[in-house]
Amino acid sequence: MALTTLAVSHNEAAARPRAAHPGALHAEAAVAARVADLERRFGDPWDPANPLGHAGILAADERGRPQAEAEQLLDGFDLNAEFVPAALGGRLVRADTLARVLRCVFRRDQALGTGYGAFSVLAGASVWAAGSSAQQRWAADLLLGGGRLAVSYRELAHGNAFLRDEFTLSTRDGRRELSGAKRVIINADRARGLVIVCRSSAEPGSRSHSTLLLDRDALPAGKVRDLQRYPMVGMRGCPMTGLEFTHCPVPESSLLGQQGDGVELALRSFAFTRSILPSMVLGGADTALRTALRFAAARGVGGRPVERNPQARRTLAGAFTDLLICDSLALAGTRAAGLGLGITGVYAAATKYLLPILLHDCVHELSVLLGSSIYVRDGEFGIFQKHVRDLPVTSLGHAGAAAALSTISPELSALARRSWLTDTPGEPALFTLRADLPTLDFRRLGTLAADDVLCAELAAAAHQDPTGAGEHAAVLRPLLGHLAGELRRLREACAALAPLSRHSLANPHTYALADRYTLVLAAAACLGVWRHQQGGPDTFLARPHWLVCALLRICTRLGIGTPATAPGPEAEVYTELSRRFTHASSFDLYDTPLAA
Amino acid sequence: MSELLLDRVADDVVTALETGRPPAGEHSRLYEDLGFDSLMLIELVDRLQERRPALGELPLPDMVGGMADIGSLTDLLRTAATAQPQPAPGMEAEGNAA
Amino acid sequence: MTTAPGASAVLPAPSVPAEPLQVTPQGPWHTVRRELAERGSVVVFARLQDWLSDFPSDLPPATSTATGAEFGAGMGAGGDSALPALLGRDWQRFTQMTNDDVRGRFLASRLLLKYAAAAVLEARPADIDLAYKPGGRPYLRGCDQVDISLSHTADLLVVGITRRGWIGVDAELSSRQLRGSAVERQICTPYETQLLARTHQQARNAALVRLWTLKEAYSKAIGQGLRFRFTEFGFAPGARRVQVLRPDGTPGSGDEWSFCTWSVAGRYTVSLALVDLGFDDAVDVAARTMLDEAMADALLRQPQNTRWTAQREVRDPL
Repeated sequence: MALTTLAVSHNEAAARPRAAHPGALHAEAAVAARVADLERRFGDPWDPANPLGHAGILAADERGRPQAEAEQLLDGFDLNAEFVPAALGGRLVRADTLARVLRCVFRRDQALGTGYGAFSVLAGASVWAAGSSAQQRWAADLLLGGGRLAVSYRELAHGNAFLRDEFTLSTRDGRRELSGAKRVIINADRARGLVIVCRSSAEPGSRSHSTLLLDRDALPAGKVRDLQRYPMVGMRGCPMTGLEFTHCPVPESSLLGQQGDGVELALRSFAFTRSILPSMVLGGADTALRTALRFAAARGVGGRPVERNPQARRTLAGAFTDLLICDSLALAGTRAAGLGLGITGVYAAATKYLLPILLHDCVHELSVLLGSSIYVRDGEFGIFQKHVRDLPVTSLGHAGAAAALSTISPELSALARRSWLTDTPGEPALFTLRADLPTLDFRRLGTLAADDVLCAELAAAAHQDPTGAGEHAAVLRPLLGHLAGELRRLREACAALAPLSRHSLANPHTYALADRYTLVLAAAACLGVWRHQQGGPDTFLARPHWLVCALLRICTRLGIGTPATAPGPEAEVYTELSRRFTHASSFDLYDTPLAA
Repeated sequence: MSELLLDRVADDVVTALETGRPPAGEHSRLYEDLGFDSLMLIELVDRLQERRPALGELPLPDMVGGMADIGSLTDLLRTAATAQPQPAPGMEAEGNAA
Repeated sequence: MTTAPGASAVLPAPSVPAEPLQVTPQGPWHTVRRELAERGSVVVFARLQDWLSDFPSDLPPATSTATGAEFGAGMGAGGDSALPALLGRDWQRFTQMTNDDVRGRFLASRLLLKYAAAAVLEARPADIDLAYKPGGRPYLRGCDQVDISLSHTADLLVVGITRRGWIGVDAELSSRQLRGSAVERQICTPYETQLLARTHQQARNAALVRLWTLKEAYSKAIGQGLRFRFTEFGFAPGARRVQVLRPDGTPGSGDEWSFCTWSVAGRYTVSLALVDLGFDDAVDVAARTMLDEAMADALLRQPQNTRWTAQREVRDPL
């Protein structure tokens, strides 16, 4: 093969006992142990004496460089092995557990999580989904040996510095060559493996792009050039440079899949990447909420202790509820990938679309509690503003949202006609957060949206009497009615879309329907999590309080039937939040013990 | 004119607090029905504080979510002293838009 | 006059929009599109009456008997007016307003928002879904290529639109008396109080109105309105470069923020707050190009999306 053999310690990499039997990697105990190990290594981020704590992270951000000590820690943990499928010697077996492990990193520093890890994961997805066995072996060895993969996507009409311009693949004198420049590629200047989606035909349509896997070290030096660092307001510690190719010859064997497969392959890998990245980013929002709680505990809010400020408690409980909503949708998205559901790509796109919106609003609501301390860039609360700056970068702004809606909108009409409010059976395995899943099979990640099992959950719950909700059944019942009504209206509006008419699809009316659909999916995911934890060990999730609060918040966003007279059971949600804050455990579905 | 309106609303709320009865114009919404804007909300809260010093400090940022109409404002002031959780905030009138 | 430390700091000044541009339902929308393309943001203003002549706000009559239906279209008053479809979810709220002045401003401002959004997205006003965040901030549902902000006072309407990040606008009558009021006592940081005390008597109310609109604009840009304590952040009246300061006058927000204040129509003070996250977003914000052709094409090639054979019997279990 044309990819040069890796000079890096292949043997050494192979010799290290990374993973026992893949089966052991699946188990809840194994995942929890890896998370605990990583938490222990990082230590208490609020401890000023901890070099890996917030002080060090803020200093690295100020310098605009990756934090070397933290990257060494992750080297020592062998984090890259989490990104490599178990079949190739790594520890990657499930999308949901990968996100859980990476949350520890994002909780400290989103720039570190993105720069060290997430983009190797995004790039790797295309290799695991379409690479030859030689390509997969090479990429796996690169990662297992501590190397990096970078990825460059296509240009979008509504692109930005990350998604503008693209490389062009052409043939000259019988040789393939790559030309063009891309302003921002994360890790471009330090990744040996490059996954490049490039234009390979001038024709419009979906068969005009191809994907390459390149070994940077094997490219002729004069034909590829690093571009200058791109300055951003957030994620300053994440290396963002660009690349320029000038008639750069690329080996025939560098194609991932066939020529013209680029768009289809991207859609396939997005079915995995679009739900895991936002799911990891939840870790950053966890820290923002934890910082707000620390601030409120230390200084009070509006001159009063939190115990005497109901509005402050409501804000905090609301932020926690938002994180649970986000995690419920991310859970359904990542577990759908493991189950190989046809609709995985839609759920992943919904996760990518909705989570940045909810998290943006959530941290800004929290900023009210911190007041002027949101401007502080050091000390106990300085990390808050960093997470606020970093969050929007991880989602790539409007270009990211436009790309996600471009995946959802074309499916709406078919989903409405075929799958909504029919008696499609649900899929309980989407919601059993600690249960095993089949090993992730990247080749099975389809783009064919078939049964909408999340909406089925909503239909099933609206059908049943929510007796499990006890005294809250009276509040839950009308909420479910409102949501079912919303789905009925969506069905009517989406079934009326003319899917083959660009005017019908590329229209604010359709994007708004897609937005509302993602909110309905989030509601259905919360409902599914609640319904399928009944009798399980996660007693808080099995109780109705958080669910009622979550559905109320979603209905408010949908602008439907929120009876202002129906207070949510926020007190119970706040109590749980307080408990987790005091006992240092995570503000997501998992209630994971943390270092602090 | 807005001075008269502010005085009237403040009177109604204070009377309700003193008598324990529902305020006059209980269902009048500050924005939609009475035409309040953000500056008037600040003035109103200030007047209430002046007339009922016993209410203590009334921080508007903690109240805006719960004062859609005169009735909910009165309820909010009744419970403020005991710091009981208040009803979930409805859509904030137009504090953001106006 | 003391200026804030760090006010001379380095980054190139972010581009701010030109003077607010007056618009009627007839436009000039091409100028609005051009300003948005060239400068990244645009602020438009309008007179109430220009926007109510086509849709008099005293029709349909206010009703307090509206049902709980979420959709206004086709219900109750309105008859065959285009208004219910145009207002969408706002229709019901509109019909329940009892104060004529409020109704007029509400209607005119929603029309202005929808027309302006439609103009920049190159779409029909009725296709725009004007939605509200839980805290009340308006936004264009599903179309975050532009962020919007709205303010209205007396007979002035102002809308800010940006394709660069987040925006907040606020308008107030320049003559509104704030000096010596509760507002003066409640919105100023210690640093602002200090600076205002040194301001000439006659200029002090104007300085306060400007401060108030700047604070509102900033707080609206971060989506918080009055919930964010106005004594927790401030500005330096008279400083050359306007930036957010902490209560003691030290620098607050970063260089990604920019602010502007204008005098509009001779009697209003209008302020703008803008944050640019540096994505270098596309100039093209049209709705029709937002759908990625290649992805849509790949998804629509799937047989299931073009043929409706073997359709399940639709049985509504709800």
